[in-house]
Amino acid sequence: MIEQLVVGFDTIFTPTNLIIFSLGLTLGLLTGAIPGLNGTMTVVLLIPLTYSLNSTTAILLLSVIYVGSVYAGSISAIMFRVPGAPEAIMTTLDGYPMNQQGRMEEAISIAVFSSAVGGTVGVLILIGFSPPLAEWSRTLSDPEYFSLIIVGLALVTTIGANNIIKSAITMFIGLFLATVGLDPLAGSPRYSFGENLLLNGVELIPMILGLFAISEVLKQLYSGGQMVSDVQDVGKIRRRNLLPPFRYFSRFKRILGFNSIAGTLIGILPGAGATTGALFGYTFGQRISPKHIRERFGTGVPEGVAAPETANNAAASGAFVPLFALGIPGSGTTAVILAAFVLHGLTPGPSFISDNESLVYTVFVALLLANLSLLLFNQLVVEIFSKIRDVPQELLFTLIIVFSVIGAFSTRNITFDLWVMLVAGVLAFYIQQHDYPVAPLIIGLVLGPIAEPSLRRGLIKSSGDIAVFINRPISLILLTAAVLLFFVPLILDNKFIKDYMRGS
Amino acid sequence: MSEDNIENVVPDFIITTIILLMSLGLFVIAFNYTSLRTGSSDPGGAVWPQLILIVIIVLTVSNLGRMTYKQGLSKIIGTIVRNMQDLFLGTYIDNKKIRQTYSTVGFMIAYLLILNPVGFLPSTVVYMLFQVSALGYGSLLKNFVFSTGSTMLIFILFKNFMNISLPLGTGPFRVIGVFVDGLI
Repeated sequence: MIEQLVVGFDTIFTPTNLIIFSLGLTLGLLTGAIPGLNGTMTVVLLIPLTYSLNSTTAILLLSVIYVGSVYAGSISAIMFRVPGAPEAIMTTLDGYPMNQQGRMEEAISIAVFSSAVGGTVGVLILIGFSPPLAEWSRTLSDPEYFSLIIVGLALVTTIGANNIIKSAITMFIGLFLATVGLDPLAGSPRYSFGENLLLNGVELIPMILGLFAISEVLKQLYSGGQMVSDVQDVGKIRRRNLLPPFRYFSRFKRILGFNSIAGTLIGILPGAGATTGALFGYTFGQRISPKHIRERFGTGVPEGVAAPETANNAAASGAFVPLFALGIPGSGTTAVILAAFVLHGLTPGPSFISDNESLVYTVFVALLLANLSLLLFNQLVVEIFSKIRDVPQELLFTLIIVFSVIGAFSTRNITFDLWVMLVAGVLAFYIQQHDYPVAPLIIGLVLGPIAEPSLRRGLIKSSGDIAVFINRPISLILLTAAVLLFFVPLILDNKFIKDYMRGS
Repeated sequence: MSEDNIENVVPDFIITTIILLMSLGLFVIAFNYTSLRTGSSDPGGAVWPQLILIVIIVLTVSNLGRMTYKQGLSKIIGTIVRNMQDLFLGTYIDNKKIRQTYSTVGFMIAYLLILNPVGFLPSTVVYMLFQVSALGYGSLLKNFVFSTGSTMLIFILFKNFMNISLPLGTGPFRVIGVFVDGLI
């Protein structure tokens, strides 16, 4: 393996590949930071441009763009409460409140640092354990997938700790919206009401832009607030010190360690992807944080930024495991990269790594270098993006709306998605005033399309026997975890139980 | 936001009731999809949405029950009748901010309506000009320079570098749009 890695380093340290690497990383960062544009879209758009490149350079470019965009998605989430990519949804929960408290630079620094650590650990796991992990993921079937989603849904108690009923309502609305379109197994229209534009279902990107970007602009206009606080950072990072903030290693050691591994394992599961990784990472981070921090999650605690960012970047790396080892994409973007494989004459499958060692290890090295580059240039990234503070709020609001319009339009090139965005934004603006959180709605929309087919396929394979979900050990463990995750916080927060325990 | 305040409970009561009624309607509609099966073991296309809707119905009923228990149904309905005109204004802050918020929604609606027929370039320049002026930024000339400059930059960035198709308009606007597109 060392030999192949040396070959990988050798391949990447050529002038052409180094330029391509730098271009890919910059492009990924740029597109990830622009609301509405994401890694998948950029990779799709750039595939035709890679025809003239050799297959190694082409796959290297697309992979590095993906990594860069997952990083940068958190930056607009922190600055504008607009997740640059779905993977950054959870980062808005604490990142944006940190910005509002005048701690934007600290939040971006933590996001980039923890992303780099999560991504690096993910790549190291990828390098060391790709084949056995891919084999392990093949043993998981629909019952495990469904149970995993149930765990994800149970996490609503964490996200909506202020009002679990309202959080649950919005999450189930998200799950319902995910059923609109074609039935995932039968392929017939459902809740489309004869409207062809609804056959593809409710698009995620316009919904995210509406629920987060448009509603936030309206909220700030309504309250006279600011999206990017012009208060200088409370936890000011010393100027001219461009060294990475290594102190975060000790501060977030448990989160970095646990979420890097957990995120990678989630990323390995085909279809789960970095968004699911971030969702789980946020909750894991909360669970393993000390009580006084745990109780303040969602109000702007640094741990709430470090946790999802570590996990989503680890998951982004993990998503390459099934892609390289089995030819199965672990996420939307890796599915597009898989298509690029085919276009470049590469045959995905179990023998892919052994047949294309040079390509695979060059990409591994590129991913590793991308993560390390961002770790080293952490402060530089923070400096560059914190300049946004100088832009007047009136222009910022207007530009965010225009970028959101372009982002929503470019998903399918139809204005229908723009109306979806606007309606979602106005409704979200209104319901958020009455304590209905919107993050659970997006979680429902993301997890719904995985949950229903898993449930139905699981039942079909077991001839309708619902016990299949508890007869399989991993599925049973996950369902037990879901029950505990949902009910333990409810029980512990119950006034009667609290009084009883205090009284005793 | 205090949940004990009747003024805050009323909008929440209305939101919850609307969600409940829609869920009941969608639950009934789901019966049309019971035949969407791929085999005898497949529970069908109605089961999953109906499961979700049942949970929403239970949650909304419990939320309504909680509010009614705390405030009393007659008090909630009385407040709704008295304050019909204020229901959708939420927390009152001041007229200027409310005007800016609603005018932003209005400008966005107008922008989306003209985006396709007029094309991205003119519609975005006009939208940005109105929006930044309504928010009270700079002089008309300064706002025009900002709107035109940033629209051109965005267009070049997305169209030329990212290869994203933006609307060029229809009819005479398309001719102009294609011409400008060619120039860029």
